[in-house]
Amino acid sequence: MTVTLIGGEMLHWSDRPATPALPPVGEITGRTLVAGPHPHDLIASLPAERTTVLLRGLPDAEAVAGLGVTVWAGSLDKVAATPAFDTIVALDGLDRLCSAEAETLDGWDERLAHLLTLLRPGGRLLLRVENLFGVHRLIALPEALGDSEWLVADDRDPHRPAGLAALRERLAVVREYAAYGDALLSREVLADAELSGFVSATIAGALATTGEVLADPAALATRALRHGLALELAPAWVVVTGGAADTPDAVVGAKAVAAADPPRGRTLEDELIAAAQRRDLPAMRALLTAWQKSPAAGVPAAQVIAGSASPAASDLTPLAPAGDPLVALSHFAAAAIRGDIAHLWPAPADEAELTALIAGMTGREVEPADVPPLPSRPAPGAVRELTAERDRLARELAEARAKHEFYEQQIRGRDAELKRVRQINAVLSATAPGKAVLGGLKAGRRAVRAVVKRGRA
Amino acid sequence: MECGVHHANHYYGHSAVLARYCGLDDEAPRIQGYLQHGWNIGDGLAPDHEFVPGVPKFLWSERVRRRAWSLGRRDVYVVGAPWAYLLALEPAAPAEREGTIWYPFHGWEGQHVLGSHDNLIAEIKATEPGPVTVCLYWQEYRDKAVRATYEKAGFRVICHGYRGGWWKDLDPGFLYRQLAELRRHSRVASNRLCSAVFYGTLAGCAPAVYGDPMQLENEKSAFGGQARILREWSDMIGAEVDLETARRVAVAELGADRLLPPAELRRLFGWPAPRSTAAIELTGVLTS
Repeated sequence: MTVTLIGGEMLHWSDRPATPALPPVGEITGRTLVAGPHPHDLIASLPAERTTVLLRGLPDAEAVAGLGVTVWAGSLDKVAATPAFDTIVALDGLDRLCSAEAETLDGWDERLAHLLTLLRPGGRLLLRVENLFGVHRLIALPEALGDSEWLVADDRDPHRPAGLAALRERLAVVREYAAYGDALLSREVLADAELSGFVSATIAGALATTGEVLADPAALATRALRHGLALELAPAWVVVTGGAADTPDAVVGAKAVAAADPPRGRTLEDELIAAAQRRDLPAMRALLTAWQKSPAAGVPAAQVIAGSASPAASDLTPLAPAGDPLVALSHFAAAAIRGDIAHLWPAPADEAELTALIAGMTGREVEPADVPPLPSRPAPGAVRELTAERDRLARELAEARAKHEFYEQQIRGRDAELKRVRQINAVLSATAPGKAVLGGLKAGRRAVRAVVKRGRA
Repeated sequence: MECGVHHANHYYGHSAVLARYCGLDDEAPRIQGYLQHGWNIGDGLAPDHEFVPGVPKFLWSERVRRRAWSLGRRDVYVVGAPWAYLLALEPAAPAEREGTIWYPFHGWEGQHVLGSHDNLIAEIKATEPGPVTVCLYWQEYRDKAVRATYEKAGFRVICHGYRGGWWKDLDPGFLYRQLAELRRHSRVASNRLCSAVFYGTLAGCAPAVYGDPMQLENEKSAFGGQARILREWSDMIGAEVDLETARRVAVAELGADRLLPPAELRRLFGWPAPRSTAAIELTGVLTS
């Protein structure tokens, strides 16, 4: 298929899709408009003859044309009256539909209204909406604007829904999901306390830190989950309009998940840190030992579900493939430092030292030098973690200096003691009994030598 | 690198017991930290210790750890009492137990007890049904007059030995002798609640605390002293106490429910791994 230039197309512009993989959020039927950049896999999975793709960058449009679909290159405001679509897929959101040439549709709601004119009444809309108060925004440091930000999304726009409630008022939403990375978690799944371990592991696995941030996003998001705020603070939402019947409960790893599927319980990491915070170290040792003796030993504790019935028993379900158990322990040591429980053990409490000690809690002998460094530190540039690390190192340095001073004193004391003992020795060996003893020793040695010589002869 | 360590870590052969539990044959290995060496109603540590920041304090029980924390101590870790490790290492053989082992409250080096040994003897005789062994602190044992007083009363008089000090005259056999004696007796008693009463309770004796508590000359009531002991540990006080409760209290005070696996203990103390680790890896759970 060739590319139709509808106006406003950008000749040297390319947008990368926000979602790396296809989230199968229910059936996509009839004439379909895929609005904005989406993964090619998603576009290729749709019937080419009934699919139209709208892209503002000409190179992107030309690349998609190879998939056999109808391609419109241009700005959303230039899309003229057309027979209504049965489905519109806008899983990249509404912020990259208009080009730099757009003369209208500067507001989010105006773009939505225009898009809805293209949808038949009761048709299905799959829409992604960035949460401007999501965890990714809460931990963001000030940053210079990029080339794509000739317009900036802002929550002061009274017509842009701030929060899910406002979004529901604007659209007849039949299903809503929190979007963490490419994982989608429905409101129902997030509310199910028994699934908290699975959800926590999914969220932690989906959020990666890139660049400098205020705090580790996974730690903040899982904390939000524990407080029932995972939906409200999700980086984005995906909402569905037009029939809920075939929507999945969750989408993880590009696969639909039913609420009945995942293992029940909390993550092993949560159980371990909870035991530590109660200072119930025997329970912690029992859990750690059960984990390290189970087939899940090589799976990070944040990716292991501890059965809610009896966490101490080895009903541990791994959610990720097993690797080196020492690396899994090391991940937990890092989590202990992030979770502010490292002070439960003597300093120095860096990852390697703590890993060796935690391995000791399971009865395993490990030297810190043998602990492999983590493949990627969980939060390379998180200001909170860096501050904690700086404080820890400053404290360790102060303590090392105090110990150094103590050793100096000890050595002075021992030197004095040694000197005193040597003097006593010198005095004693000069006395008559001392000489007698020493003389006796010498005579004895001579006698022994003589016997030995005779024996050899 | 070796770390500063207090000579008190080796009192009563404590470090030797822990070293054996860890599979090491050193009788007085350096512990990278301060080890609580007696039952304590304060922060677990002797008042004359000089602390170096960052050097950990190894305490017997969670209760003491919480108290120490509240008193501003940091780097405090619960490892359990060496006595509890000794019991884990030396399972009791079924043996005949008879009579009472009685520990008259003692002072430490440089302290002097005020009180009448005669009154105490009368009270012991009136209370104890069976034969009595009196165990004196080394200082009083060396005092011929004190020893004779108890011997004249018809008691067997013993001493577990010298606790050692400044790495001299260390006695790694101290606790072993104490354990052997305690296991010969069905009761353990003292005029003050002290380590020996908890040790005896954990070793299977029925505890009792009664009689003149014999004040020390110029005794200071640190952390509430005797009055607080009588209030907070009232379950342990009396000529007859509830055995189950007493045992529960002893387990908690000696941290017998919180023993560490040898690998963890070695790591904490900065001790090397033994040449062979196969047979001695206990789980740290006291079952007897």
